[in-house]
Amino acid sequence: MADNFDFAALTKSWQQHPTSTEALPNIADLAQAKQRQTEQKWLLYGEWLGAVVMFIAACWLAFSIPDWLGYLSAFFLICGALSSAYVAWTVHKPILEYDNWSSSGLIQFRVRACKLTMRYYLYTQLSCGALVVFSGLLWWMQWWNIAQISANLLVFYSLIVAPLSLIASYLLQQKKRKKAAELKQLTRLANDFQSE
Amino acid sequence: MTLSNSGFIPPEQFLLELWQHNQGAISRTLMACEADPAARQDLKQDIYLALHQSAERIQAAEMPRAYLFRIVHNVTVDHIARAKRQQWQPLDEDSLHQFVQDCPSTEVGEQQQSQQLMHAVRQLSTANRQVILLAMEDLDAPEIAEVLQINQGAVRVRLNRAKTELMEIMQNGR
Repeated sequence: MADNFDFAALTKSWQQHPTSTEALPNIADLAQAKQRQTEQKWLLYGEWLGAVVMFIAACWLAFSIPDWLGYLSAFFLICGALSSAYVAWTVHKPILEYDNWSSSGLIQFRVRACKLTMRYYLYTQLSCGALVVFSGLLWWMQWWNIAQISANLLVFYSLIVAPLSLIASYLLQQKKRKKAAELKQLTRLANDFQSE
Repeated sequence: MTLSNSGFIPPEQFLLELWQHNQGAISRTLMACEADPAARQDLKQDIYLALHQSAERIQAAEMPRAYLFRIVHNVTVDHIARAKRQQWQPLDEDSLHQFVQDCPSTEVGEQQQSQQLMHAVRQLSTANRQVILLAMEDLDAPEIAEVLQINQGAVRVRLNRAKTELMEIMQNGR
């Protein structure tokens, strides 16, 4: 079917399309593009900083509460720190180097990064849920006199941790919806490239 | 393109010459992939930065033009893939009218063909659009294979499929 097509004529027509006579790229163009790239890098560094803070908090917990609860919390935070750092690197890496990719590979990478981010959001949501459950557990232990829970701890978890966890969970749900739409678009693009 | 990549030209100078030789092709490629002129300008800057960062590798490459187009297409595809544009924006009537006004051809028939071609190319699927754009910029099969990082057989298959899709779009006037 495509053989009957006068592609040479179309090519000629295409190459006659008007393009504005622009000046060659200069320092100002480079500066503007670099600024966008720097913003992306700062996002990466910001997320890495968050991971470092989580890691420091884990170390502090492990040393200041040397029992199973402290170690469990520290383990939990270290897992969070490592996954945050990895997801940030995965999401921002290709922006820094475009010449090492094929378009198809780039799209596949974006698909994997999008799925990974969605999983990360899901696990973070589950962590938030665990914190809400833990707050309820503290009240339950206090109510049945299973353990002596300090009033400060109860107030801290009930008024700060649990509400923040619920808000975070709601925000994460919204982010997940956006990511799901993005994944749909990416999957369609990936299928375009995979269909031969 | 007869740009030499063997001599004593500094990478930046080489890059500028390469850009100069392919400026029209880059502009047409971006025009076929993004309707918004401001976004096109941003893309052009991103492409230039990516080229600048790879200047030495481009100069050392066997096919510098293919290397340039790989960066152009990767930046463009990444732009399409990332979340900001959920829906493809077809050229609006004003853009099309402006496009026809700007067309240097004095023949109405040619203007209409140009308009129809741009409209059709923009409706192609991303993978097909890539290969058609490269072919229409006179890249040969080895160069297209180098740009897309696929073998020449796959280039022929994809090009054939893209031509079929383009023909269908143009015939159906979609």
